[in-house]
Amino acid sequence: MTMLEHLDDPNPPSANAATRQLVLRRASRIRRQRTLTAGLCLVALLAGAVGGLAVGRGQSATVLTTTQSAYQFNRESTPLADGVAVPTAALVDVTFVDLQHGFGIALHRSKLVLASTSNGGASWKAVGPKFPTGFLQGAGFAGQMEFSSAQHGYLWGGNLLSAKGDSPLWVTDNGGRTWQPTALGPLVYDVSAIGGNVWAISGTCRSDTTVSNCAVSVDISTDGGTVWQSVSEPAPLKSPATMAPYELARITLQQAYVLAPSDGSSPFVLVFSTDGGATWATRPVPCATPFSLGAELAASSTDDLWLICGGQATSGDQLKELFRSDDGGQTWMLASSTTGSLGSASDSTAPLPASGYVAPFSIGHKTLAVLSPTTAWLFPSRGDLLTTTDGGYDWHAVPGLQSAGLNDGGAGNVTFISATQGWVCAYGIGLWHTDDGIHWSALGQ
Amino acid sequence: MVTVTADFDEAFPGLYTLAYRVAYKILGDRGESEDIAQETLARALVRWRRLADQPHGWVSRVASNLAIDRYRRRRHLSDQAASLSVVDPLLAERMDLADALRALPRRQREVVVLRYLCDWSERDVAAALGCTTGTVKRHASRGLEAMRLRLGPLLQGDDDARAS
Repeated sequence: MTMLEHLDDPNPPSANAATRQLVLRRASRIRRQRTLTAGLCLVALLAGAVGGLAVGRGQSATVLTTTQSAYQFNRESTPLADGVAVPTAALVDVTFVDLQHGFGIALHRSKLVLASTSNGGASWKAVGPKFPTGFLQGAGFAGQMEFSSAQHGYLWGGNLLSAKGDSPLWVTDNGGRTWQPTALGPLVYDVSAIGGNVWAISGTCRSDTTVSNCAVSVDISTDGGTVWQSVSEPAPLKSPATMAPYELARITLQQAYVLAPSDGSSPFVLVFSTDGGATWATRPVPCATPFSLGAELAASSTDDLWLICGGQATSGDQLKELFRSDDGGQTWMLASSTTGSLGSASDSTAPLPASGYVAPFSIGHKTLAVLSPTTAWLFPSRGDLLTTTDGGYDWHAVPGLQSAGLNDGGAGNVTFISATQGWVCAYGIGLWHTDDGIHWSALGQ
Repeated sequence: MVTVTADFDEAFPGLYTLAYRVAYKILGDRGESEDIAQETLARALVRWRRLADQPHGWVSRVASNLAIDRYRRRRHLSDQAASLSVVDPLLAERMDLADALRALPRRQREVVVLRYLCDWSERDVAAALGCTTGTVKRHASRGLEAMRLRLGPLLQGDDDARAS
């Protein structure tokens, strides 16, 4: 045995025709990006020369607009000044409080910045100097945010951890210009606000502790996040050794579901309360091997639940299964799943395409938006924006967005504020909006 | 469109295997290693006219750089995804290896990757990098010494084999 041979793959893949095709496609993309970059540099040089002649020496106007590329945005010096235009291509996560007002997390030189819009996403501006220390990103993924109004919002790490091993929750009352830490934590897994009524799932141990049974609680604030109180009867939640895919899905002020890790026969457990957290009941979770690495829950009504289970992933593909329940999780039915092996081109005809990552590889980003018992949108990382109108049995990519190269982008998300008003963003690609739930148009371009 | 020349097609299987092997040794993940091998070969194809004569050194360096970058990003992620994935019993060794490689100068890393990760002979490494076997020996010796400080037992007992 030679040195380091034990680290080799015992069955390495061979380079076949399909692999060659993938490489050629990537090479073409690199070539296009280079051509585009060279063109932009040329345009910038010409514009600079013309501008220099026109305004003379010493003038340096900010030329960035919402239509600029992420590449040009990254040339802007750090830290970004308040009010600087943020291109839609730099957004990695967006959320909207109404048709006009929204917030986005943007990536600037590997730092996260908050951006806001007051015209429905057509243009964005940087807000405040920077996010609070400890709000992290990892591998292109940001933590999470939620806003209940144009001024009031929440920011938490999701399942990304700071160097101290914590993941706190911050609250803003001025549209993100400043953030105040809450007393919850040190781990805050998920947050959901309905007006000033906010629920959070938090853990009492840091992630680096070895205690296996740290308390995990559901905490409620009725004043927008200032005063918190744990629910009277603790939800039957276990604390894992590391940050875990806890997910809070609130239907009404009183009713909520929590998807949590489990050490039982199933890797997950679903608990729910119909009385504002006073009592809790447990429901089964159908995710099973090989679809049991991660799970994401979404609901359109009290009883209509959608559960997507994620398995192993490779080269942009992931095994997935979608389950539906119309009785609040008492019984589940398989609606669709990926077929074939990962990376096989034939999988594009499967009811649920394999391309794109969902939990746990979407790292805290919610990928599933359910609008009704029949209609939902799924935007897995590195995949196409998919939609279903038959309750999740068949999914198909949105053609216009497919040609825009959405699946070539980085992190992104899909979000809806009503059955027809939605937005989807992908880093490096841009932001789109629909006002009829069918057609999508690019914003800021 | 990218023009694919016959010599790229001819070299493709060997270079792909090389890039995959380097990435897998560092990451231990089949999917990620395939991803890196594809990315490396795509980049190589774009600049193939300049690489065609001696592509192996460049491919090994880019593959190891990409793998180390991926490894560094992993560290910033929560442990969640890793802990839920298939457990790799050699994870600690791979982490040490990535750290050790990252600390090497560019040329030393090229030599070490081809010589010890890909198990090439000194003559083959010299031919691939366009230098003498003496240069390869020198870089290999210095690189190995630097890595030994970090890897320790992982490299013990291989001196004789390497000296051939």
